[in-house]
Amino acid sequence: MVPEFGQFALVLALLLAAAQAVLAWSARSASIRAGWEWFGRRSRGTSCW
Amino acid sequence: MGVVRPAVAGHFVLVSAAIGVLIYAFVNFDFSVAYVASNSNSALPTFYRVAAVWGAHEGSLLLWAWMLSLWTLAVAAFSRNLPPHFASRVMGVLGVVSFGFLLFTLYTSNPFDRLPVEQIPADGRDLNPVLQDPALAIHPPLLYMGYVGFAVAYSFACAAMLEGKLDQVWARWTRPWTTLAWCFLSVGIALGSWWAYYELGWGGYWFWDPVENASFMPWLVGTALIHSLAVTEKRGLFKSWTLLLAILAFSLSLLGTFLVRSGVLVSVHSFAADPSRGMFILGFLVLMIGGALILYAWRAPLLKSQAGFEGGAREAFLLYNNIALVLGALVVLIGTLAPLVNEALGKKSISVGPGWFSRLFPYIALALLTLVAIGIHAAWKRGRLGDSRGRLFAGLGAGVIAGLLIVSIGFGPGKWQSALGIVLGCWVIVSSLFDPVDRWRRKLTLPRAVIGMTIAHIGLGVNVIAISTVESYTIERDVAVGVGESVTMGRYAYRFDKLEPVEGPNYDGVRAEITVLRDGQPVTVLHPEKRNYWVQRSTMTEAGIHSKWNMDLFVALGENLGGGRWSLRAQLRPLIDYVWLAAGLMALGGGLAASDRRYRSRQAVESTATSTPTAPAT
Repeated sequence: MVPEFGQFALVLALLLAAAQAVLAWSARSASIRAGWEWFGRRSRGTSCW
Repeated sequence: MGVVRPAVAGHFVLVSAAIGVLIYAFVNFDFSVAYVASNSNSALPTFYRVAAVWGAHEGSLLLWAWMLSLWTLAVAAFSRNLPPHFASRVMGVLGVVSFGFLLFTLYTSNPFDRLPVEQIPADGRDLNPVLQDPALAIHPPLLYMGYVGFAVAYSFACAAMLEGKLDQVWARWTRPWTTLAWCFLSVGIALGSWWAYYELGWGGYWFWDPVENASFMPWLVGTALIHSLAVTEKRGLFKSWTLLLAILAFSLSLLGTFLVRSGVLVSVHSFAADPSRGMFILGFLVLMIGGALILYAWRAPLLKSQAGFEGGAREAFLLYNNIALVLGALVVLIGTLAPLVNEALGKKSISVGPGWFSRLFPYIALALLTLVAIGIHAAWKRGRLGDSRGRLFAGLGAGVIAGLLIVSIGFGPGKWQSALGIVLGCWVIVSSLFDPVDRWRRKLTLPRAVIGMTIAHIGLGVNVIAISTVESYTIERDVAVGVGESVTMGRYAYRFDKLEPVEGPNYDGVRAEITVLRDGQPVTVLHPEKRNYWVQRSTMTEAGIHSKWNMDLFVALGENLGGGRWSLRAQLRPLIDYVWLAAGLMALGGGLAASDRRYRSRQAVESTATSTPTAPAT
């Protein structure tokens, strides 16, 4: 349980908080949603919502 | 939301892991971590090694971030009946707040920073002795749960503004979260006040200290918010006002964090000397408050209420109460910020002491109580106070009789404000009992919301009676005594019997033995202490207190005056324990109200389809 692990966990948490904000906002924003869908089509996958 | 919920859970796990690592570092004396080296010591008991995690700035912020992740997880788990688009907005706002606080923690206040090898100390500098107390170990987590909980109300408000839709269902979603946050804040403030009473040696329960005020302001606005939400839920009114209060409550929580954590309270110069932390919080504050207020200015006009109410209706009384509560918060805000603004402007330093607050706040509180005692009897929409005049005058009469009995038989004449406070407190208690008693007599169901509201209002009445009594009838003596001498207060005498050395795990000191006698007969023996903490070389006072049902016998040991004489502060404080007991009652009432069936049942939440016209969604 080294302190660096704690710091690493915090950095990951920071990124996840950003992801949470972006994903949640993008679910409501038509332009971001369209962007994600375009990305989904390009990668032949499905969009993440 | 399918992706957001796992992200929220992952976020909680990661922040929990981070705080777990910090606890592990404290418990195992890892003095290579700068924060641990500054706030722990090998002689520190295990309980305080864990509590030391939030004993200073960096750990407090981590605790803040962890609690926010916990609230967010709870909202994600219990928001499955929210419309996905609305839940997305809420999660988005909470994500932004989390991001800001974690960035602040990592950028300016990293609790995991290592010391260079050559600077690692053999032992730590110890936890501030003031914080080495069970109540103060629990007080910050509860306080932060309250502060952070208002982030949920804030995010619900922002989501409503972004959606351009606010109805009674929205109020029903928001209300239990807000009430829960308010409960935590109530208990947190009460614990801090209780700790100050027995630990700081002056025997008071509130000092209007800026740190205390920082938590009291969001509590006042939070109280206004939960009542405003009641009107929004019941009648679809006060929409804009409710939104503004939600923004204000969280803004004042952030402001409290800024005031306590930026060093600005010590001196604006200390803030200027190391501005990175203060500037970050200030920037974050401006972003969150400014952003929300811009959103409010843009969207609130769309959320006009269509319904009306008469001047004597319950809605009107709740509005008057809201105004009184916000006015109270404004008085506290001005008194807290004025010295800082003055110093920042380079003017002669001024001190806003308890005088400012005690000249203004009691009158606002008395007006508020009168409105509560009357407003309880008012009906929704039409008021019709005339129909309730029987109850109104019966409550007033019972309150006056009970209050005058307490004053005349119990304690004798005192300040007129205290007498009025006791009468009003009794009136509020009696008034709040009418509705549940009436329901019980008519064999109607007694929902938790009604029981909770009644208990919380009884708590308010008890709190005011206790404060009024303490303010008027406390007997206090500061004396110099030697062994064998006594100090007399009314029928009580405090006899200084002996002084002996005492030693703890990380301190030594002296302990006095004070026998309290009533009419010459021993009542109890008190043991106040004066402790010297070795590492931080600081002296702390441990008061000796004996609590009776109607008063506290309090004694604190002061300075050694030489020649075997010590200064002693002896007090008789009537009903003081009820100040904190009442806060517990208010929190219990809030908790019961928040767990009402209509908030737990999915069907019930969804069934309140609004009839109130709303602005079009975007």
